[in-house]
Amino acid sequence: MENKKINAGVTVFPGSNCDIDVYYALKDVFNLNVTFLWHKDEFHNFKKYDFIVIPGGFSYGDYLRAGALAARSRVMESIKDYAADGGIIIGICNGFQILLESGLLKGAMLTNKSLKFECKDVYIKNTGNNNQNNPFTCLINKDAILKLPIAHHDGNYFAEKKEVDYLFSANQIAFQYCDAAGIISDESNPNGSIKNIGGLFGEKFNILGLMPHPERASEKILGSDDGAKIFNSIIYYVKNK
Amino acid sequence: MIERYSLPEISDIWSLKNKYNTWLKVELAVCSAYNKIGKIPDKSTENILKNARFDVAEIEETEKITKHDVIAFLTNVAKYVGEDSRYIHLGLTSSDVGDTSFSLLFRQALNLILSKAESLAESLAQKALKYKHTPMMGRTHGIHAEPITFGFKLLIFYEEINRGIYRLKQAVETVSCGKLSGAVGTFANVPPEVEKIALEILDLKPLLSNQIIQRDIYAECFYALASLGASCEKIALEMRHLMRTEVSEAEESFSAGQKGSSAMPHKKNPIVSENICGLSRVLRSNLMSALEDIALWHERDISHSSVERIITPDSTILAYYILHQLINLVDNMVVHEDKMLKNMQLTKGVIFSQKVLLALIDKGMLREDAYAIVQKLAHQAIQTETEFVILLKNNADVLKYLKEDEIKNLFDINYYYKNIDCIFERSLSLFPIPDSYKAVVKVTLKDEVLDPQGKAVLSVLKSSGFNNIEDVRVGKHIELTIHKEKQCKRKEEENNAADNNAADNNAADNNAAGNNAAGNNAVDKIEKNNKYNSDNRGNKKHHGKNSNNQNIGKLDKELLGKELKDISEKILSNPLIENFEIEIK
Repeated sequence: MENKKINAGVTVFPGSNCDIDVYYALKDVFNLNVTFLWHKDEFHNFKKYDFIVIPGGFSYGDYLRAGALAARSRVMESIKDYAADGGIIIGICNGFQILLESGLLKGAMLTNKSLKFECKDVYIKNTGNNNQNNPFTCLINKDAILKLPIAHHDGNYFAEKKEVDYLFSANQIAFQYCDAAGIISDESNPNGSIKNIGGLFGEKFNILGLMPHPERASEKILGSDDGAKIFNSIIYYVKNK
Repeated sequence: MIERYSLPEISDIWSLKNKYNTWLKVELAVCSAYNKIGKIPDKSTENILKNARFDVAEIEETEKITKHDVIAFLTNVAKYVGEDSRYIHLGLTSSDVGDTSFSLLFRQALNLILSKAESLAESLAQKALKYKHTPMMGRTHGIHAEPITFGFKLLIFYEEINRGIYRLKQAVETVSCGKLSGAVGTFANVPPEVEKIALEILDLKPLLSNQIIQRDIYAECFYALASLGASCEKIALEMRHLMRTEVSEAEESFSAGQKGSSAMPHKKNPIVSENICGLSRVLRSNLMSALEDIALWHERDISHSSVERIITPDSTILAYYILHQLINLVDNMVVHEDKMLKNMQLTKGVIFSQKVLLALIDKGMLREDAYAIVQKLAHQAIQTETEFVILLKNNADVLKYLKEDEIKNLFDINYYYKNIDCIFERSLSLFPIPDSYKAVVKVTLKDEVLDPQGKAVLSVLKSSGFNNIEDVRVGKHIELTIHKEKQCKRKEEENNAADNNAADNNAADNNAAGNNAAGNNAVDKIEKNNKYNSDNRGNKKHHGKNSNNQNIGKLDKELLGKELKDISEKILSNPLIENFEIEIK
């Protein structure tokens, strides 16, 4: 199988708890080579990884701010270089928070408006850039609706209005929370995120921060395989670039 | 005390409100003690502890009628407690409450002064270490004696202030006493057990008293303040001398917009130092009054009370102000190291006279003869403004005992500094500088960022009946302990790379100077002392044990503030959504 040639890295911090889920999905569902990247280790061979996943969980117990301590770890120093080198990175849930804290994505996460840990299926709409050059959504139609689970306490995305306006104009808002019919409203906003933002691209579109968990929705048996569309996009992009 | 010298944190201690608060504390401790021995029922005690309070304005009104402050106070408290107020002040005399409270208030003030004094000691230590190798003239009777370093002078101040701190701690210990033994101290109407329990609650020791606490106790506190003031005056006086136009070796900082004289625009005067010298006189005269308060009639009279009302707030507020001023003075003083060197050269090298004398005796000259020659040539050097070393080299009697080279080598300033490390090590092991700073970083969400936690707390407050609360914001309070030595080492490593080049250049310059100056005279030697300075800083290997102390001194609060700002900006807060505030303790 050609897929065997694709190599993915998955970071592991103290308190990561979706690392095994991601490992399982990439290895057993998508048939990739997967390597764990330990938080204390640097890496310099950027060619070794076709893409890197920063998985969800509660790195360092969410102390100080969610993702704040992991963002200062050694592996993140390498990941910053990897990103500058054009490497593809997807941060899921806590991974998204870590990307924000490390400055690779713009903005910050606040506590959910409900003050509750929100654990449920939500719908997100692919509202951002989705041309053939986007590794994360190249196989997903514009405005397509995905059903994915969320599980977080601090997913209330915040940025200054000026910044948000800019992100929209640059097509960097990847996904917005919506209802099953695709309507973006306060009712369909699970955490209070500004403009229902649930997913965000970096300015070069090689980075995606995503609050819902695609790895938990990559097989029909899990209730939805919409998450597979994101991983399939990455695989398609890596194979054809 | 007039407002000009009153810093709020200490003058608040002497406010009426704090006084009545302390009285109440004592009365309540006594009630708790009576409760413990079964004299006041639990329910009444509970009621008293819960409801006892006072209103300052109301007490003042009542006092106009009673002409007795403690009674006015008790009447007011009774109003809030109700019937159970009959248990308050049981078997006590006014002085039981007044004196025990006086001790508590005095202790509160002394502790505040203590922390200021510790801060002054630290400022002095930092500067002493900074100028450890800065040569200056030692003067006795105002006349040039032998070389010292500016750091050495400051180290003496450091030790002295530490002794002042010791005396303050002693005074705190001494003043931590109370009396709750009734009208003439015989426990006729209040059991000793009550005094014991109540004083334990207040963390005070009992002592044998008549109607009042004996006044030698407080006189000791006034001595601690007066002597600390005198030591501060000594430092300030030195600054005034060093700032004199003819000396100009150090000066007080002069801020932008500051004016020295209404008539003479050129003036920069030692006003802070003069202020300290003046105020410390008041501390001393208050001590006299405190000593006079010791002798009272029989089991007490009230002649001491009016005096204490004035001198206790005044002396504590002034001591605190003096320390505050002196810390600013020390932290910001301007030191003219070049002028110190220049002044050392004023006396043409005669400051080496003792070395010459000892060398001549060592070579076999009679002491009397040697003294006469050295004295004659030294006086001649000053009168004729000729280098002492040249006069020695041209004197036949001297040359009989010393070769030219040997004479030249006597004029080595490093000779006086060979034990400077040992001196510093001894002082700093006797009075170690605290090795860490405490800092607090407060992180709060920016105003424009919604705070769901705050909203939740607000709704709970409202549902608990606190309807007047309009908004709640929840933040983080982060306490950091910063080890100075380690922090400095880091700074030093960072600086070392930059310093290395500079040090190499220095060494080259010094060699060149040494070769050129064939007819080495004292002036050369002293100028070369710059080398001594840089050598000691560059050559850390020789100072193994001491380098720690040096490190501690090199860290100033400004640097620390910078680093804390860095930490707070980069890690402790997310500047996008949060603000932070830093407080160094």
